[in-house]
Amino acid sequence: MIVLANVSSVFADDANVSATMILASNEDKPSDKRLKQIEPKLRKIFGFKTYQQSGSGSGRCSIPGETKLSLGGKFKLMAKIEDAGDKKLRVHIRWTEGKKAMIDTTMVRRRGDPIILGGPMQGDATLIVSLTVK
Amino acid sequence: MNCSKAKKWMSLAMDNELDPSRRSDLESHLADCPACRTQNQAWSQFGEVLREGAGENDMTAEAMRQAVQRDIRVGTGHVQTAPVWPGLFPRAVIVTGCLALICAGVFWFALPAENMNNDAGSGIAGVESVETDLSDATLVVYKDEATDAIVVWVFGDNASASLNDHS
Repeated sequence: MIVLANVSSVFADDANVSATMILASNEDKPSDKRLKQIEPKLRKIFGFKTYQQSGSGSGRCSIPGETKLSLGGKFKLMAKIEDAGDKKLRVHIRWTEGKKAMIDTTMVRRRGDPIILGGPMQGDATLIVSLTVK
Repeated sequence: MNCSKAKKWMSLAMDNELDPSRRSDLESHLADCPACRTQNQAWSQFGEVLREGAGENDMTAEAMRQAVQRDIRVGTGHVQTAPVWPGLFPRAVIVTGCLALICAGVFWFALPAENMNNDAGSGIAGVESVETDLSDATLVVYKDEATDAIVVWVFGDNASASLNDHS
């Protein structure tokens, strides 16, 4: 499972977080057209043959602040964001399925730097979340 | 070769304990299997992080704690260094300072476990902590230089998710 999230700024003290949850596998079928923008990047990193979008969400919050995204089903993503100085943001991300944290991480990134969470298996597919904070 | 055998051989290959013929078979499998290739890449990079950290084993506990804190500050862009000139200080001040550091180290290690983040410091600049609730899972963090993406990957037989009611 891969979760991709984007945080984009509309105002200087705001952040907009977007996340896309993807099922990556080696099935012989074309990738989801909705992933046209990020599929080359995913292919470069992971090398799976096909990528299907299974959910997405976006939200805006002030800095400091937090936003919660629903990625479909029991999957949610919480992003808590604060200023880390030097034009960077400290992003605490908690990707959950129900009450279980698949991945909980805190990192400092520049706006727009990609963050990718992934690894849990769903059958023969791998879940990925792609996330960017701008 | 199936993926299960490939994972065992990947581990042996990283320890240089896989014979050349099996290594060739493994490379063939990795060429055809993106999932194993991804895992092999992540393990290799994780191994590099471990090897980079191996040189710190002879550090004192306090020095290691300071190194971790310094890494975190570097990661957050808050690092500030100032020159220190021991020769300008009376010996008593230096001794007192050393004692204070030792006491601070003892106090730090006496803190309750919940105050310590076992996963802090992934070795990747900017990544301050990584955790998972998945049992028997291994977390790997690496930076993909080609895309500048930080990748947090969870491995493990129990690292599976349920999408049964997923719309």
